[in-house]
Amino acid sequence: MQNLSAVAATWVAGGSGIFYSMLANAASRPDAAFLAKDADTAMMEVLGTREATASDQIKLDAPLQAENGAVVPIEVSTTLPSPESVVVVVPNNPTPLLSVIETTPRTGNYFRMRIKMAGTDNVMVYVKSEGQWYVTSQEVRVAIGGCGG
Amino acid sequence: MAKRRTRLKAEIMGSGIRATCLIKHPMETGNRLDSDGNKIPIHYIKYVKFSVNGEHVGTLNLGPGVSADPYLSFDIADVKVGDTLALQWEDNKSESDTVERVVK
Repeated sequence: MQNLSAVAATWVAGGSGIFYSMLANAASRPDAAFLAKDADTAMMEVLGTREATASDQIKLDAPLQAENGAVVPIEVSTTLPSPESVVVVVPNNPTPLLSVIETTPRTGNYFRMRIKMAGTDNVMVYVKSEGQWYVTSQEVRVAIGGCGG
Repeated sequence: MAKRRTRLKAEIMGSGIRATCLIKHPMETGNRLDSDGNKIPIHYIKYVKFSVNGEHVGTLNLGPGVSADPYLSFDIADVKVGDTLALQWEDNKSESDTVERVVK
């Protein structure tokens, strides 16, 4: 029994170590991720995992069709408990990471912004709640891309 | 350094507010070419921070993929009339702006 609790204590200590290093990361802006050219690199940097559970507790409002990819309005609200972080990704954009929102207990349930989309693609919204990442997405069909070049 | 304009408003929503801002900013991705075929350098807002009565309540980190002239809304709970809402942003060329509004 004593052995078991020792193991548990180590595990808890190790776990909290990871937790604190994540807090430290959250305090500094993930600059490299914002300039990453592929979604996978950006997401590993920001989310630290590829695992996210699809959730209907994140509501994403985006147009089904956008005439102009330079201005695509999106609106996100979530009923997930205590959202810690919200991440917006458009995987096929030249720089797929659009926004990382650091919240406090008073914020994180609703935001709205306008984004650029290079072409028809999914808008992915990840929300971290109680240590778990949740995701929802919607496809937007884009007539004229808005990323230039 | 050009002075950029930031507009901020706070709308009472239940027991909190919806803060909405419009920032005049080109949000260049670095991928676009000017009329002579030269690349327009990357220029984008890195973060927009909100605080209420001096207490930090949230940060929107942005990438170059956010549309030019960012128009953002952000809900903040437990804000009442008379509280001071402040917004601060900074871009990748270290240009920045700060605005304050008393919630009415």
